[in-house]
Order: sequence, then C-alpha cells, then structure tokens
Amino acid sequence: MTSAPVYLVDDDEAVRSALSLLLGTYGISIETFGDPAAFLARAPKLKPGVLVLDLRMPAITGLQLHERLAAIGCDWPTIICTGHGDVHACRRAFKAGVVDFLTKPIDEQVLVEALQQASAALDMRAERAEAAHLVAQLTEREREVLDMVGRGWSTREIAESLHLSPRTVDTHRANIAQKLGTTSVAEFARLSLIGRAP
Amino acid sequence: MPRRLAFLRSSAALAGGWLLLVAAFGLYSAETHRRALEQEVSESGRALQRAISQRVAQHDAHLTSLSALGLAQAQPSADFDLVARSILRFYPRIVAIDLVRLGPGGGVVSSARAAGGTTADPAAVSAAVKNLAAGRAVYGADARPGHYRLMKRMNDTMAVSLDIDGRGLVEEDELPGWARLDLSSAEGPLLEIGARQAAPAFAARTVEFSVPIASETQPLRLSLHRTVTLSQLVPPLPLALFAALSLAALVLVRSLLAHRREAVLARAAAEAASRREALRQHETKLAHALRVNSMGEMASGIAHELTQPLTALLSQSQAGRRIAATGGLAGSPVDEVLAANVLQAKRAADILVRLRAYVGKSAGEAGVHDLRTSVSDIAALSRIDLGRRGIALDLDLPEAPVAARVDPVEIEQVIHNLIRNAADAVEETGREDGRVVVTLTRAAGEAMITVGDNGAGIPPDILPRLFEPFFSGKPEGMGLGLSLCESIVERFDGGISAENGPSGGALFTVRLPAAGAEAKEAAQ
Repeated sequence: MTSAPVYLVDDDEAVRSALSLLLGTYGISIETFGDPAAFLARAPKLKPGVLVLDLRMPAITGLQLHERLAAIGCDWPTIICTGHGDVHACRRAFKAGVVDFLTKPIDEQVLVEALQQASAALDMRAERAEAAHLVAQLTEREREVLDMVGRGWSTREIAESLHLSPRTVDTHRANIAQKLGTTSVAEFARLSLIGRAP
Repeated sequence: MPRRLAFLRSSAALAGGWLLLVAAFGLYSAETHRRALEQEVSESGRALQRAISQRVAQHDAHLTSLSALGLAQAQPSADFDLVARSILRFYPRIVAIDLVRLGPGGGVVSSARAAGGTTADPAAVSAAVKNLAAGRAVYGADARPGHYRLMKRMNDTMAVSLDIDGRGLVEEDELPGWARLDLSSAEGPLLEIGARQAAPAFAARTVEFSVPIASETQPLRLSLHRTVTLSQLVPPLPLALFAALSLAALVLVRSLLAHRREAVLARAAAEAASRREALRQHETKLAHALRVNSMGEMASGIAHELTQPLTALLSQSQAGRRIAATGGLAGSPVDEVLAANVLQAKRAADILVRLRAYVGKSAGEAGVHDLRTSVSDIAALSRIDLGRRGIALDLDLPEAPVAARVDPVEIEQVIHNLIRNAADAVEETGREDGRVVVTLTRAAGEAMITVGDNGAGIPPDILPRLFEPFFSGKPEGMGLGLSLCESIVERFDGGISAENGPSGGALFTVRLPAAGAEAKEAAQ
C-alpha cells in the first residue's frame, strides 16, 4: 500500500515492537530506533522515508530531532507522537513543518491514514524533485516556451509573444519533448508547474 | 538595655542643657540688676553730692558775712551775736560760732552756741589759721564724732570759727533706705549714717559710689554704699519662673522629638512589615503555583508513563486482530478478546485525555513582562533561605528591560526551582564559599536566564535524563522539579538546557523568545 519505508524513533521498547508488529500487518516496511542520536547518525545513509518520532525522549525531543534531520538534508515527512497531547508542542510542531501530530495511544486507523498522507507527500516530493531535475535540463528560452505551452498557448501565440518565428518555437517544443521524455501537453503543464525551481 | 541607656543619656543631656540655660539666665539677670543698682547708687550719690556741696558752700557764705561783721566791730557787739544766733537758728547743723582773737594773749571774743556745740579753743584756732592769708578758711577735724570746724582768718588778729555737726549736712529723707553714707576728710572719717548691714548675707557684695564734695574749704569725700544680696541680683521668683518654663519647654521639645522619632520608627517598622508581608504573599502565591503545577506535572508525568504501555497494548491488540483476520479467525473468541482489549485501552486513553485536560486548566495567563522584575523578585525571596544556609546569591541584570511573553509567577517558579537545586548542590559539597549566580541577558531576539553554582556539577550519566519526569538525582526527590521547569518554559515557546560550567558546577540556561516588538506595540 505504501512503498516508502517508515522510520520509528521511540525510547520505549514495548511501543516500538507493538507498532512494528501492527504496521507489519499492513505490509508497511518499518525500521525502529530506540536512540535518537544513533538514528541521526544513520539517517543520511537511509532511503528517504516517513519519520514517526516520539516527542519526549531523553536528551533530545522529537522536534529537535526533526530539526536536526532537516539540517542534514533528511527533511522527510514527519509525524510526531506524544503522550502529552500538548497543544503548545503541537502548534510548534506544525510551525516546524511536521505533517501530523498524533496523541498516544494511537489508533491504527489514524496512524495508517497519517502514514498514507505522509507517504503521498514523500512521493510528491520525489516527483517534484524529478520534475525539477528534468526542467533544470532546459535552456532559459525552452523554459519560457514550456511555461507558455503549459498555460495552453498555441505555437503562433508563443511565437508572437517571444518575437520568434513559429518554426523556431516548434524546434524548441521538439527539444523540450525530447528532454522531458514526453510530448503530452498535459504532462508539459504538470512538469512546468511542479518542476519550477523552489 | 542600650535603649534604656540612651534614654538616660538623653535625660542627662536634658538636665545639663536645662542647668546651662538657667545659669545663663541667672548671669544675665545678675548683670542687668547689677548695672541697674550701680546706676541707682551713683544717681543717689550725685544728688547727695550736689546737696552737700550746696550746704558746705553756705558755710563759706556765713563765714564771709560773719567776718565782715567782726571786722566792722573790733569789739564784741550785739550785731555779731544777733547774726550768729540767727544763723544757728536757721542752720541747725552749725552748732557754735566763735569770734576768736589770735595770738598768745588771745581768746574767744564772742561766742554763740546751740545744743551740742562747743566753744572753740583759741589756741587750736590760732594754730589752724597760722599760715593762712587773711580771708582764707581752713577745715579742722574735731574730736566729737560727726563734728568739724571751719575757721577763717579775718586779719592778723581775728578769726571766725564754725562748729559744724556733719549729720546735719544730710537730711533724713534725702538718704535712700538702702544707703550707707560716709563723709571723710584727709584726716579721717567724719561721719557714717544710714543703713547698717549687720551681718553680710550669703554671696552679698557691696556697690559703692565715691565722689569729692565740691568745696575748697571743706575737702570732704562722699561715699555711698549699698549692700546687694544675691536675691537682689538674681531675683528668685523670675529665676524660678524661668527655670520652670524652660524645663517645661525642654521637656515638651524632647517629648515632641521622642514622639517624632517614635513615629519615624513606627513608620519604618510598618514599612518593613508591609515589605515582609508582600514577600510572604509572593512566597504563598509561588508555593500555591508550585503545588498546582507540581500536581499537574505529576499527573502529566503519570499520564506519560501510562501512555507508553497503553500504546503498546492498543497497537498489539489491533495487530493481533489483523493477524487473526488473516488466519481466518475474524469474529472468533480470540478476536473478540482482542477487540475487548482495544476497547479497554481506548477507555484508559480517554481517562488520560480527561486527566490532561483537567491539568491543562491550571496553566497561567501569559502577558508581556519584564523578566528583570521576575528574576530580582525571586532572587530577593531566595536570598533569605540561601543566606540562612551561608550561600551567596549573585545577581547580574541588564540595564534595559528584557521583555518576554510569560506568566511571571510560573517563570519565577522555574528560576526558584533552579536556584533551589543549585543551593542544594552547593550544600552537598559542604564548601564554605558556596555561590549561586543568576544572570539575565538578551541577545538575538532571545531572553536568556542562567543559574550557575559552584557545586560538584551534574554526573554525565544523569545529564541526558535530567528533565524526565520521576527521574531524580536526589534520594528524596520526586523528580518533578526540572520536568516542571521544562513544561513551563516550553509553554512559553522557550527551552531549558543543562550543562556543566567551565568551573565544574552545574549551569542551567533558560531561553525564551524576547517580546521586544510586542512590548513596543503594547506601549503604543
């Protein structure tokens, strides 16, 4: 159901084993860590995934871990779990870019939905990264043409707007299609939208 | 006792001051009275001198007319006697008038006498006027007290002699009652009349006035004496009155001063009492907040501790149901038991949610406050306890306000906890120079409070778990203090951290978002 791996960081062993057992029954690939510092050290070598972090852990909180992971490039979708139900921490978590904030004990339905959303966000992010990668290969002029095609302009309109001959525009379109690996105008629009440099 | 001594000292000063005042008044009174008396004596003396001078001048005039008569009639005559008798009658102080023939064969030619008068001795008269030119007169002492003679040479052979009773020179009503009058000549005292002070009274003194009588023929000197007693110089009634009034005034002033001092002391005591009361109220408020927060922290600690096993229980039961379903056991008794577990775990979770909601209500109101006030207030409070335990408390506050959005009571509780922990840590080492240092600084949009001590520091194995609820470094500790501090600080979007300072003691740092901009808005 979800392809992205789930990384669970919680200092309580019983919680780790129970959640990995439960998520295992959903066929979700889950890896658990008891020590935030150890996970922080390993994270760069891991495949991008969804993070499930306990808020209260010794030495370092889930939020701090989230921030430090983001700082080393692992800005993966993060779900914070807490036993506190602390509105304040919740607010701060969302400010820090956490995708969901769950109160323990977590009902399976809630957890699975949150994981699906996070996974989708991760997929979206991967897609966006790929689109950005593709769009980055275009020249400045090609990017302009792609934008206009994405907006539904015709070759003639584009040529007039850019003071080019329709033939030149067609050449650009052909190059774009080759670089992006598609001739679909709909795909052009999608890539132009999500692939724009952030 | 020192108070009592001070009172006595002040009483002695009062008595000394009073005596000085009375003495000054006495001296002043004596001086003015002495001057007035001297004035009176000299005025009376001058009046008497004038009167006596006039009277002795009359003697010269009588001598002149008598000698003229005597010259006109070398023989004893009825005219001379007549004039002499009329002089005796009108001038009672002249008690005898003699016309004397000089020389060895001389004698009294003519003589008129009143009572007390004696006829002149011709030999004595001759001797007295021997060296005189004609028309000159001379004074002669007499053996009888108060008497003297005035003798005038008329020519080579004749002289006139007057026997004068000096007591008649002063009329009774001319001499003031207090006065004693002396008349004396070069030969000795002539007479002494007037008041006689029998025995000199205590501290009595005499005021004296002395002046010569203006007469060539009768070289007398007038002296007027007055004995002045102490009571005349310093009249007792005004002195007593002054003494009484000044004593009353001094006592009044002193009692006014005492009242004022008492009022000042009473006001100071009242101020101190109100300060103590304010401090006590502050302490009570803090203690109450601590109780409430500690209860909350305890409840939330318990909730956290229970949540973990509950999470495991719920997730395991749900996993169990899914495993059962894959094995075709959905709806089986095992599945039902697991479903019941899920239900009970959720029920327990609901109870925890309600507990947290109840605890959450105790959270205080946050507003923009100057942290300097909180820090210095709590330092003042803690200093009492630390002072008793011989631990110094240093405070380092910035000049400018450090505003943050907090509930001051809760933030004070955090600092209070940290200071108390620091003091405990210092006390454990038993060192003499125990010291807790509290600083407040503002940098880069953050307010930072540090509490450091010179205790043994935090063991490295404890450091990571320091803020966990129910984890305590102290045997009797509940392990809620620091956990509570963290909860409170996080409630205001801040953070708390612990480390060991460069000198080895523990150093706690509380960071809070500074509310400078907000504070400015509020001010506008």
